[in-house]
Amino acid sequence: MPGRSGQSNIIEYIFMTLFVIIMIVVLIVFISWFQYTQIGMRGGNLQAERAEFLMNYMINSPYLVLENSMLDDSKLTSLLYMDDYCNNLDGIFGDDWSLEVELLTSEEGCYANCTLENYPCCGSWTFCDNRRDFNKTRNYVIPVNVFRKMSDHVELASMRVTVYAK
Amino acid sequence: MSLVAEVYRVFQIILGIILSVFILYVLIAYSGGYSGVQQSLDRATIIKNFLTDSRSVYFTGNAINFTDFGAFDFSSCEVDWRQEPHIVCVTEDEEIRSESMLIPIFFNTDSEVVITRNAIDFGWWRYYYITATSRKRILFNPLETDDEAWEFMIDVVRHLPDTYGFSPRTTYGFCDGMEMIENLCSGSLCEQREFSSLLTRSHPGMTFSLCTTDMNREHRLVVISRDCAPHMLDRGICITPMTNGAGKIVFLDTGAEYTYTNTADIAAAVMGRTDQDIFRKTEGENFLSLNKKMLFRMMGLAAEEMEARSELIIPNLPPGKEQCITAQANFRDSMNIITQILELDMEDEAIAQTLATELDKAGALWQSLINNGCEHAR
Repeated sequence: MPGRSGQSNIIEYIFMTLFVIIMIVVLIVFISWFQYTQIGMRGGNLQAERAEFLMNYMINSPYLVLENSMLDDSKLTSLLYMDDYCNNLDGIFGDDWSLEVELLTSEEGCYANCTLENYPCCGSWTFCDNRRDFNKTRNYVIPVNVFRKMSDHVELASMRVTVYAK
Repeated sequence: MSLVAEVYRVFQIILGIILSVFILYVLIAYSGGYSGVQQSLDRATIIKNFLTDSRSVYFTGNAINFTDFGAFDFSSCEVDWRQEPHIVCVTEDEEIRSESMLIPIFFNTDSEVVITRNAIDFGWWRYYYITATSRKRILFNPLETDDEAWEFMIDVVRHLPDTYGFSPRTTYGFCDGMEMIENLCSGSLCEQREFSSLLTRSHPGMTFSLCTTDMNREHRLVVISRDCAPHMLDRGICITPMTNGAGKIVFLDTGAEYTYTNTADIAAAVMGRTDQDIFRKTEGENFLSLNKKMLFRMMGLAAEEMEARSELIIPNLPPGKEQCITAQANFRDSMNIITQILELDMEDEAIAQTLATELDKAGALWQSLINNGCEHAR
């Protein structure tokens, strides 16, 4: 049966080549998937790095601190009452972040949200809170010192920096 | 051999050739695309790393050496200051745009650069800027050598990169006519601090003639003259010494003329290469525009904040601090004036001089606040 043997050889050959093609396609899909996950991981790392950068920037920024790592309560309060301060600060810190500072200790027992009316007896500041509709991606909390301008002493506070993605 | 076996053999050969060509094509096309994507990712990562390192220097003030630019050709990278400032690198088939710079960086993209920080202290506020420099030999050609021009040159040198202990170095020297005078520090090239100290010790009144010698790519010529003209030379920059807080920078390659208000403007102009972009601006001009944009934006916000702060402090001053009321009110008014001036066109030399005068006043008022115990010295 030479004709039948030839046919089976051809079919066998076609199956072998199909198998090789499938293996190549699987390899390509695997490499693409690997690259895709790598890009995803890089995106996550970028968000983490951005949050870290913001935290560093804020505790060194002359707009918030008296000197490095010591926030100034008068600067924090006055910033809140400037026109369009959030957009202006975006030009300095970049987009899509928010900042909360809360006193952990207060000699006078002042923990309320700071306004022009209750300053200096207040102990909480929230900046650019209007971004809560976005997805929160990273959130870092660190202890910081806050210089109380009016009483001339330093208190302990927590600073929460959040980065959002639209 | 039977006919069927022959047909089978021919079929094997033809199909084998077709499949081999197909598989080879797919693999080459895919690996080409894959390596292209990977290379773009690597380039983007290097630029991101550069920004991260520059920011680290911005926060700490500790200079570092950055060598990643050696991995690829980054010579097409430039700063795009017209939008939110960022770095953009354009090659034949791709464009890589970095995230926003957020801090002023004047950079070169040679294989090795040293990243350093400099600052301008206004008393009530400090402005930092970053320079990332490859090997540079800055040559001063002071055509004015009176006390005022000499002091100005010392101030300029103090605001240029100090790469002491790092490589590649930025060194300083003079150019006098056809002669480059560079081995001035114990017979070798001078670093910034040595050159600055040399200028302080030297007696002003020496005379120099216009620099006409040939220079290589590492050299940057800085002519100091009260009569800067666009085509007095065909390379380098010419600076008029500061008069009432402002002066002119002329880019001798293009003849473009700008007003400067501080030594960071001069550092920005010196750092740039002479290559022109599609707007026919040299890199130095772009760095200068970047510096002005960032400085005035940051300063405007700082002045507005300090004004609001004084306004907040005045009614809340505790007993015993009454002497601070007038001082804080004067400082607040000064901040208000600065905010208003910053909204005007700073290319107008008269406006730039007014700003400089107000900044001096604000600095003095801040110092008096410190002296009277109303503010803390940083």
